[in-house]
Amino acid sequence: MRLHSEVRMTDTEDMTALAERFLDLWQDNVRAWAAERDLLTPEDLADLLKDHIQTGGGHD
Amino acid sequence: MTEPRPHLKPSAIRGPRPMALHLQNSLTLWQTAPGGLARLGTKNGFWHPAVAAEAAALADAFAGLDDTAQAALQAAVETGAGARAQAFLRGINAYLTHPYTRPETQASVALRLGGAELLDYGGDGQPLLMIPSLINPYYILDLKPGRSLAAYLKARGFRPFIVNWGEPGAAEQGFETGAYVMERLVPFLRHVAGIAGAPVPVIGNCMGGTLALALAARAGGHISRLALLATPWDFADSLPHAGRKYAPMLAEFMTRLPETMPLPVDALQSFFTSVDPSLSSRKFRRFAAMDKTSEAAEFFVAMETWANTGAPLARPVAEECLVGWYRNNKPGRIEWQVDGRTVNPADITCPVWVAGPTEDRLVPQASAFGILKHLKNAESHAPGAGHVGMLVGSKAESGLWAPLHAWLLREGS
Repeated sequence: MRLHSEVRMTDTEDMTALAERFLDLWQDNVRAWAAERDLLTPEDLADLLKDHIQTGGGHD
Repeated sequence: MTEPRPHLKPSAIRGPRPMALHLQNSLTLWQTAPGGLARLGTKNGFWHPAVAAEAAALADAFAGLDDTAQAALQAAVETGAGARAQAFLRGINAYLTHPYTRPETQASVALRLGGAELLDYGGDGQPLLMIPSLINPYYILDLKPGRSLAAYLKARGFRPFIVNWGEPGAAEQGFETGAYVMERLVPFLRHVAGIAGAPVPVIGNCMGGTLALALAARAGGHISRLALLATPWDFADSLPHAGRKYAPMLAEFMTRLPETMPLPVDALQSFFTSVDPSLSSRKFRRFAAMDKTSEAAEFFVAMETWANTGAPLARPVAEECLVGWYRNNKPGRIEWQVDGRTVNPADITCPVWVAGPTEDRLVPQASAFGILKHLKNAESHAPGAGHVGMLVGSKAESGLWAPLHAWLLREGS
């Protein structure tokens, strides 16, 4: 995998690769928390991710 | 020309169960992902330490983008998340319509007691009793050609007998674990030992191993050696245990059911799903991309069907396990009663082999190995696998079957 600094930002293919990397991260984060907390019920999953349903725009 | 739409097989495949929960998890996971991109740089504990470095790297990349590129990435994430959600649905569709059906087990019924059967795999080898969990079907011990511990042992001089618990019948609806041991396992063991004319080896898998421990404590004279595979024993608070966290929810749920109603399969499946809510998305997307004629695809279908074909758990057994085992740790505290007496592992004198897979999320290795300190004549084995992969995965032969076979052949202890 290329480092982000090597990504040419205007390249659609690179944007897709970066997006896939983020989606893998998103999924792996849920998996890691499930392992850490022994399990994540549907309510736990919604609680973990709910801020991200409500949050729009802005990179903080 | 449009290809005809594949039809759903008229088979036992009804999974993944509960379907609504799997769909909901996938929806939650992928619908929230685009919003998550905007929070990449946060340090509020949202990102698990195991993925924090990757989150930071992606945050740097994101911060380095101009507005146009950020919008393009946002669009790519939305597209990618939608594609993953769709691929998950394609995988479920492909699973439900896959033509593979597991070959019928080549075994005869040696003995039938209530809803349970003792299956005889035949041959003239050393009789051996195998006890599966009460929760999923027995045939994880004989999943399919090339993925069968029973067939492996039969080919090497053993005559496996496997307990098929079946659906709890009228009698079993009122069974506690002790009744399963004394009224089902003891007669089955006597039958197998009678054929052998001597004590026989016993292999217990998962909860079947816990029952086998009680069997060895009550009818040890018929057992030559005992192998326990991913068998829960110690439910102490100090150990990681997904089931211990979920058990109170199930116990509470059960209080709302009619008094004698067994614990439904979907209630148990909800627990298995919650151990990793991202798992079904990953595996069904992988299946969607798989060559459907490959052995790997058939294996996937066989495994999923097995995992989704459990029987409901008799109410007293469910209450005993959820409260007596998971909450009060009666086995680990040597307080579990079978036939009116405490099950004391110190009463077991035969050699015992305890396999605790290193990656087991359902029965943590520490829970399985918790029995070792109570046994006089035991040794441990740690396959580098998960709870089910240990039995049927690509490394099952080298990681479990061969070491188990070697131990079964060993003289004395």
